[in-house]
Amino acid sequence: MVISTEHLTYTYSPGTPFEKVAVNDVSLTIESGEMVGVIGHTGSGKSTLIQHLNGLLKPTSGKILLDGKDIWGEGTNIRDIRFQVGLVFQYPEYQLFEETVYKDIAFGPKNMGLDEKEIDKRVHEAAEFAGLSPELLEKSPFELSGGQKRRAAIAGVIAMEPKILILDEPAAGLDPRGRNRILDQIRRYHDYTGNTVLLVSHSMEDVANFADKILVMNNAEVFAYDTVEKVFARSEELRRIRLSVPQVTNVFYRLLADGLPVPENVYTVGYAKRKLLALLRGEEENA
Amino acid sequence: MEKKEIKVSDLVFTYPGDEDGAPGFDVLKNLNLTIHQGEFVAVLGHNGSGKSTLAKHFNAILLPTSGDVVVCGINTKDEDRIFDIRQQVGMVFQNPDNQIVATIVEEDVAFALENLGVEPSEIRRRVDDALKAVDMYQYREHAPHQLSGGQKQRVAIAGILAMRPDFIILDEPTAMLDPQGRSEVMRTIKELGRDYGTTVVLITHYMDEAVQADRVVVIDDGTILRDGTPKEVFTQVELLKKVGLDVPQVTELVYELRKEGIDLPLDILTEEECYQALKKLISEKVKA
Amino acid sequence: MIKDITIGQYFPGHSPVHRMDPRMKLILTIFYIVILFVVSNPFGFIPAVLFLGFAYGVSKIPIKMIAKSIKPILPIIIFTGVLNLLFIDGENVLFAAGPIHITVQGIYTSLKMALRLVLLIAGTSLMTYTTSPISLTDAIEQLLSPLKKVHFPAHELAMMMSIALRFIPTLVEETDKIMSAQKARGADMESGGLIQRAKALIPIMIPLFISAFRRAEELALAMECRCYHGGEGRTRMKQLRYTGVDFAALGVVTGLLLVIILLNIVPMPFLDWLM
Repeated sequence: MVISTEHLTYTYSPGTPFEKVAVNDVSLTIESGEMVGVIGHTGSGKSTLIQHLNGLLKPTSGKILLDGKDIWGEGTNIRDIRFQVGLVFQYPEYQLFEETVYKDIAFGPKNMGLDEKEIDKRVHEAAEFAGLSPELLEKSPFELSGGQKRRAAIAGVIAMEPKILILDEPAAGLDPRGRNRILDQIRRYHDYTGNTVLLVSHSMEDVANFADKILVMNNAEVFAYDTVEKVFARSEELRRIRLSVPQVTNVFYRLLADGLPVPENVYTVGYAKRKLLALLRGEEENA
Repeated sequence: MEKKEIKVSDLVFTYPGDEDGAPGFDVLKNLNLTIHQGEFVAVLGHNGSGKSTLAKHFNAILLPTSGDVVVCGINTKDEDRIFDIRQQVGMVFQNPDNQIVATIVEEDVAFALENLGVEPSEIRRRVDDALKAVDMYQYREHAPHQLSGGQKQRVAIAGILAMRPDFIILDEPTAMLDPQGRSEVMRTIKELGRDYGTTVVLITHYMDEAVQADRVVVIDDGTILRDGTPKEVFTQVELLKKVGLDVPQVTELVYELRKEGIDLPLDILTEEECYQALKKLISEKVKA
Repeated sequence: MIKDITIGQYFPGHSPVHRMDPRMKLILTIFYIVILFVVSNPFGFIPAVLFLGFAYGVSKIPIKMIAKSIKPILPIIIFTGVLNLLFIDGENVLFAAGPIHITVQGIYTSLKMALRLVLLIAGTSLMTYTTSPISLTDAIEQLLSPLKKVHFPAHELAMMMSIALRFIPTLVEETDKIMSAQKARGADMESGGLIQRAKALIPIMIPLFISAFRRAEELALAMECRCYHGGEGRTRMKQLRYTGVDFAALGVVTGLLLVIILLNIVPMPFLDWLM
């Protein structure tokens, strides 16, 4: 499923002293099955943008198209859009409310009007994607650990089987172990289902590790939307808008600037290690 | 005059079992630690390692099941002196929203001093000083909900600073903030030690914050796993990863390269150090 | 955004009315309400209206704000007006149809009551427009503090009010967030009957309560860490102090009362047909 925006603009509290353009003339297309990292400062418009993609906010002007069809056009039910474009908010564990984890995950599918059997199948599948063992399903969501709560809440959105899954900082506030676990689970979900995933994050490292493409929002506009390599190649500009690139990327750009024969586009430790070893060993063999 | 230090000896804290018959368990197991005056100590550990439980012992929010915590010569078990302890050991928590009491910034900063019965003119002076120290003076008449997360957290720090404590304990103060808020708060924390001589204990699971401390204490499973300078601690890449913690990207890179037999210094923690070391290494190769 | 909605109706400013001690404003507001009920003849309303107009002028609160504050209670004013109009008995009947008869006395009484209500709302609104909720809380605490002797929890009450004021914007924002999150899971809050709508609130209310309790717990801990131990031995950074403006205002309002009492006792036989 392809999702795109055309000249999307959104203004908060128009006509009041608090008027603020949160998203300004954004046109972009996210192809089916892509894994996109979304980066930007607080207030850059990224949260407002993603809330448009599933119809929670209605654009002040411009359109959102799902497979070419205007989601606010005639004959579309906005609730159906929300089932196709799943949105996981920041700190989603604060939305848990049911007596059991099972019932909570089933909330979305139930709202879709599915039958018991289908709901049961989806709850179990979603729990598995989120790395929740079946015996947790009968527990109260409030008995779970912080990381488990977070994953249960994510499962609640996955269970709707959205073609596009958007996660707003799914790892916020977790320790490294919890963060890696959630990001791994999301990666596996993406690889297995082939569905589009948008991952909003503050961490360039996480985005570099997980995404194919990066969308950088700045001052309500799209600053960059391209492959990871091409976006990080603009590290100087990113620094100018006060977004940091991964440490290794910076180190390699500085080495490159000194005229040393190192590759560009280095942003993960694994890749840096392979390239450096090849370089250093290659030289050794020549010597 | 007692030495200004926090001394934790043989601390055991057992989380009580509940009425359903669930057994209690030891969160802290025979822990010994001394925080000296003027230090900037980072206490690093994953969620559930016991680091927050330890922090709550420093100002008598929790009392040891066995063992002692002594703050500037006062045992935290001494109920009569609980306010002396809390005045000397201030505490800042994770969620900035849930520790601001008043509807106006400066009134919130005054809260602790009002509780302690300080003279109004003296409160005014100390509130202004504290707000200037965290660079929030120009926001003194704002309502807390108009501020960003980082600003709110700095107000919370000012509220503690106004008590003029010897120690400030910060329990994951940046966990809920965005990168900008995190760097604002970290800058403020570092200034506390440098400009005011306050002893800072930073509880965190972010290694990039712990790297900035003078001393890093790694806690795992209720005991101290490592205690040393950042260089001593972070070069133990394997060990930190095993207990669910990260190391800086550059440290990991150097560690991985060393494992492959590349000759690099062990104690690299910053981008600059890594850049210099690699530059030297590659330049030599290129010349050869 | 939803969090920008101001709580209460405070209208920041630096006028003499704004600068008055909140205690005096509270006392004088009560004083003024009493005065409104002392007025017993139409001439008495003239100084009462003039005084309020003057006070609004000094405080630089736009007069249209009065209309705004009266709007919500307009139905009550009309309802009591109509009731008085239809059911007050009198000698000068203007119109009668079955049990309904409209008299001159009825018209007079209903107009009097309506004017009283309008002035009452306009008067109390002036206080809330010019006093921040937090200073009002302080004023209430101070004015009630003599009651501490009879174990009335004045400090606790004020602390509860100010914490509530502090957390209203936070919880409003939170409600907004939870609603969006549940909507994203297909929660339907707009359609269905009354019962269905009430049921649709469960996914909002439960997370909201849980969050409020968690916040309360964390806040209590943070307050303990800052040596909070109730009102005993507590000082305040901002001391409330009566100044010249306060005494001047007190003088004006006392004058107003005297004028009105005077107007009440001066015999006005030409008004008898109204009473």
